[in-house]
Amino acid sequence: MMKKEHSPNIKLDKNIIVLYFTIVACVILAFYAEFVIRTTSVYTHLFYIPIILAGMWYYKKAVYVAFGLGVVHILVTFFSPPPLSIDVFERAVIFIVVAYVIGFVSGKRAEGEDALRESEEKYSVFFKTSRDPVFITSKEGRGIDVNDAAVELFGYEDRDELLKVSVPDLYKNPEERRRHTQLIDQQGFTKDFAVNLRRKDGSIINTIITSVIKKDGNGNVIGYYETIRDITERKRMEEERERILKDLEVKNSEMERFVYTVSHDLRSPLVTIQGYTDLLRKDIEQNEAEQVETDLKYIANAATTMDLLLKDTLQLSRIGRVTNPPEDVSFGEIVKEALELAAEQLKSGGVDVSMAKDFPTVHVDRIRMAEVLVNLITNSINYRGEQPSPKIDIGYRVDGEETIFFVQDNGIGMDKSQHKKVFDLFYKVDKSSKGTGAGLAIVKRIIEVHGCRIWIESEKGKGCTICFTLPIVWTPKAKVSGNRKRITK
Amino acid sequence: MKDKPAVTLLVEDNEAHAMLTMRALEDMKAANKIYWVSDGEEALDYLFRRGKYAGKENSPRPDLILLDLQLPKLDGHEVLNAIKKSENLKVIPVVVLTTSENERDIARAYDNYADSYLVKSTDFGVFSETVRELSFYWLIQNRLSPGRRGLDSDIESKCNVKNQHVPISHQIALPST
Repeated sequence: MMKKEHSPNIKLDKNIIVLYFTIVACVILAFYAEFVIRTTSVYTHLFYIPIILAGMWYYKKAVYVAFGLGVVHILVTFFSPPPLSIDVFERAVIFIVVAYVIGFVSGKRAEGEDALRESEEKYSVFFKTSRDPVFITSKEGRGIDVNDAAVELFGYEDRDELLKVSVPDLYKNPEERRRHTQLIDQQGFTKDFAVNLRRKDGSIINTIITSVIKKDGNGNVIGYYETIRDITERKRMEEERERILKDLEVKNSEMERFVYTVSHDLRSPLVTIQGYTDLLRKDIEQNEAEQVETDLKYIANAATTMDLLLKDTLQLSRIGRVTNPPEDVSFGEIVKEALELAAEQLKSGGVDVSMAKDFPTVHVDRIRMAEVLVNLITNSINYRGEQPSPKIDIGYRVDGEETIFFVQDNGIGMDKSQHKKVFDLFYKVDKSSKGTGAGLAIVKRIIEVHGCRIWIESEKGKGCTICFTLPIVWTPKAKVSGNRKRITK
Repeated sequence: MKDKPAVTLLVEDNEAHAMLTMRALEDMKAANKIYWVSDGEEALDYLFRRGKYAGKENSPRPDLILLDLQLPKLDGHEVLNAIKKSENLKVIPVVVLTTSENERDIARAYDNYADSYLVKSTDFGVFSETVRELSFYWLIQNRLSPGRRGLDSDIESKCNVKNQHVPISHQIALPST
């Protein structure tokens, strides 16, 4: 409607009133000049005012106004004493010509303005509906305008709320805003400038921003147009991929080490069996009855060792493959189960056991976890050394955000150089001790299958503490350290 | 060699293997006294005369070290590294004696200046012969040190060590290039 008529819809009423008022004023003036003060027709100069106004506002419609005023001029002079002259008609025609020219010129100009407005509207639709958040900011760091996508990205209620926040405060590190605008000022734009922004709720989003500079007519920087792209998800996926790759690498090298250890450790008893079979033959030939006994003993031992190694290897490979569904269970329950399973050993070792009064609830494979504790308790018993009153303490501590469980003893302990090695498959600190040396490798594997970690805190001669984390469901609030109860003697 | 018997230090955690090695060395054509330690820490205690090995009489300086790699406490590589870093001990030949055929182990052993790398054979005949000959070769080399290169032809014929010194077979791992 407004486009077809070239008639700007805003301020239309006011314009019409002004126009009518000037027309009426001019007509009254014409009658007053002709009949009251009897002056000549100079008043017609004033007729140009409504004609120009009409031309500016209503374009060629000004001709009607000029025509009306021309008729008024002719009528007024017709009734006045001096006879109607040709000048009167000439003047009326000049009114119409002037009205036409003004109407034509302003009509043309208005067409250009409409086109501009139209294009602005077009871009404004683009600005408003773009799914990429767009931000128009002032040089000083005030938000001038934002679109809905930006409001949504930053998690604000509406546009006005977001515009109240100063732009640097939308950055995770406000100092970074300065660096960013410096760069735009320098090169006139930035493309995919990586920046961490802060949402209303405080969460951080990873974004890349493409910005262009906005200048006034004199070339002074007045602000920036910025298009933001949220790459948080993309970044998360990239990190996830990195993590999986790293995980695979670790698994791979673990596998390599596993194969290496198994091949070495399984070969060892074979060397023994073969070697002593040869020697056995020789000793039988030479009738060395005592040697024959020894040879046979070594052969039998090697076969037993091999059997144990294979069993442990199989057990280790099962962890992670064969799992019991994890359940929410108080860690204290598992400790009790493990203590029952290890009751015989604890009794014969004369070990004093204490445990924390209440424990966090954990989300674990209960059977495997009991296995872990039995393993750790057995180790503590086996490495109690010459300790006259061996003790085991099972508890937990809260360290920052982490809950750390521990099994602590006052046995022989171990040197720092051993802290990592003991978790290697078939590694034994003391060759004469029982077992194949797979226990801690199995324990570590179980803990790692739960996505957690295990480590040792110990010094030689000062006892040993095995620490590990577990998936926590709930932690008792009032944690009183030293709140221990004694279980067995 | 005539005056006092050669001393061999055997570093081996597996008792059965230690006995096997000792029986293999029994038949060696040279008077040889074997000291056996069962972990890496004990080996260094012996060599550096610490702890229960303080005092010369408990720990005579070996003319040859037979070293297993898989050892408790300190592994064979660490022991080897310590020996070859010591000004006093580095001239003692070290023969790595292991079940590991892993290339990384072989490379690492030679990087640490192991003198030979011997993979334990499951065939006792081959095992004992290789251990014997290699041990004898290095014992003689050591006796001729510091110019360990020059091997006397007389001794060579006596100790049955041929040009290549030891039969090169799959038991002896050469450093990979």
